[in-house]
Amino acid sequence: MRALYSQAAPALWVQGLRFSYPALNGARSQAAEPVVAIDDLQLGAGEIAVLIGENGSGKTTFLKILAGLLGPQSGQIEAALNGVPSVGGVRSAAPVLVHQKPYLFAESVFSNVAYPLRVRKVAREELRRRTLSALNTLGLQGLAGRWAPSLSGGEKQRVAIARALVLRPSILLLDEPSSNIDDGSVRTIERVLRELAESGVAVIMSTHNLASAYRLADRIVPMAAGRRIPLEVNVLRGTAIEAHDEHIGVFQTVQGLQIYCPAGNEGARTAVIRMDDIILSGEEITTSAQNRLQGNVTAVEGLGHDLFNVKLNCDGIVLRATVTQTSMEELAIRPGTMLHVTFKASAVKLY
Amino acid sequence: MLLSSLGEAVGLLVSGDTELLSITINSLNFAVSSTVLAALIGIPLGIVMAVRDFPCKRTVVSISHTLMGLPTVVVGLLVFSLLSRSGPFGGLGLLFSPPAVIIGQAVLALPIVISLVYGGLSRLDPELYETLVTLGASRFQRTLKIAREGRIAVASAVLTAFGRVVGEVGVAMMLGGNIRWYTRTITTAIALETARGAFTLSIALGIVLMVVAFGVNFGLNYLVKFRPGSGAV
Repeated sequence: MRALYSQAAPALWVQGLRFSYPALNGARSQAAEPVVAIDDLQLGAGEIAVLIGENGSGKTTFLKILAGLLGPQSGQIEAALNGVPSVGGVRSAAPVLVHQKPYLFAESVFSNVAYPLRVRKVAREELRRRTLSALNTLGLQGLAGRWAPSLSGGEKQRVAIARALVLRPSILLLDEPSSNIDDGSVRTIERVLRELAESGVAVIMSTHNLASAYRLADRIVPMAAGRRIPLEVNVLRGTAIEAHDEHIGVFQTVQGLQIYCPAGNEGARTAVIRMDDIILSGEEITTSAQNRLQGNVTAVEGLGHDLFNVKLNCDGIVLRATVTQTSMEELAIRPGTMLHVTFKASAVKLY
Repeated sequence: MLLSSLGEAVGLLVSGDTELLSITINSLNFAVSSTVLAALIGIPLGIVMAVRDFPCKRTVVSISHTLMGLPTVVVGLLVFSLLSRSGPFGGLGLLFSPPAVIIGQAVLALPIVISLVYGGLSRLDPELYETLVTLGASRFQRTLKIAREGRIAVASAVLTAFGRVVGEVGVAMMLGGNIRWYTRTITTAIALETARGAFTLSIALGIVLMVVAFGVNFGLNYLVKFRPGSGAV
């Protein structure tokens, strides 16, 4: 199991990014609201970040900026790019983006995947070896000779990922890789992304598919209107182990803490608990809730609208709960306060 | 009369008459050369117009579309005024020579190549361009790949331009002068021979021209029907 937050130097560091589309009539836009405004995002080597958000939340635009396809008006993007050689200095290398509906060239699958090596004038033997290896990774070895435009959606997506991987990028960007494709391809892609991350590649992908996001992500980055918004759930890594009884299961976190969850999810690796579903109290309360922990407040953050996000350390795991201003005052919550943390087994969703 | 001429014309075609051959070769030579010239200039311009944004792009596209309908005699007049002894390029002595016809026909073909290449390529998926950029292709490599992905549109543009110049008479007449064994083409020969009442050669040449024109149209139809997958236009 990978560490949740890598301590290594960031593979990607975004600061103060602002982007707005130029006005259509060519006139200088009058300080239009930026469609993407990301103040800070850091990603370590081997981490998977998943952008989630509605249509129009700026995920695709953000990915295109990171790929160097759109130029931001201001801000800094620093990327470690040891994997991607540039072509004759014509264009400095950038993270490689796989589009939501990838464009495959009207030629064979092999030629598609070999193209990035061909434009870099890689020697024939190495080109062949690296292309076949990328095809193998995506389970496409049998399709090398097929006419790419005739493939199914899932196969096309896998070819597009192989075509990006053949460059061995240190940062891979994927826009909705699992939309409109078959389950088999989704599983293949998830496995490949996990293996890539384990080999040190930083992955940023956007998705609508929350289950896929929770399964894969080291970091979930919720977005709305082009901005990062606070995450509203706790994501815990671990394993769902044997059932406590026929109704209640047990999820053992990587930190060793056991929490109760709905039964019948053995093998799940991720537990998700909404921050709204966590009750904080000064004394232990007797309720139907099966999970009763104790936690030490480590940070408090205002969310606006008289809501606060309280970060607690409960026997090694970090949980966040949302509380109102009134509760903050009644419980005198501040860093260092010891609180009882209660949530129902049914509030734990497993993926 | 027409029937007997037709019989003689077929005889002329079968016998491989040297004058008929010379005229046909001239025609094809001028048409192929001018189309190649127009393609060399027009295809890159069409691609650039399709993939890049630049100021006044819409105006340039409109002008190019409008020029597709350029009357051949106007092109003849324009190039004539440039190449005539008193014109700016008069010193080259090109007027009434094969290069003059080729230049004139290339001017005629250029807007067709540009407009049709632009039109075909701008219908390609916009993600093609972004894909090429993110995969690290250089500007030149991107241009090549876009032309390759839109190869059917490019080929159609070239064939259409060829069909236009091989059958035109204004430029060939005004700039070539219809000089026997030198600049006489199928169209100028038909115009002259018909005016003289010599139908045999006219009909034989008409048959050749129709075969060429039908061949081009057949090729175009074949290209339009041949759409291997989403990469084609």
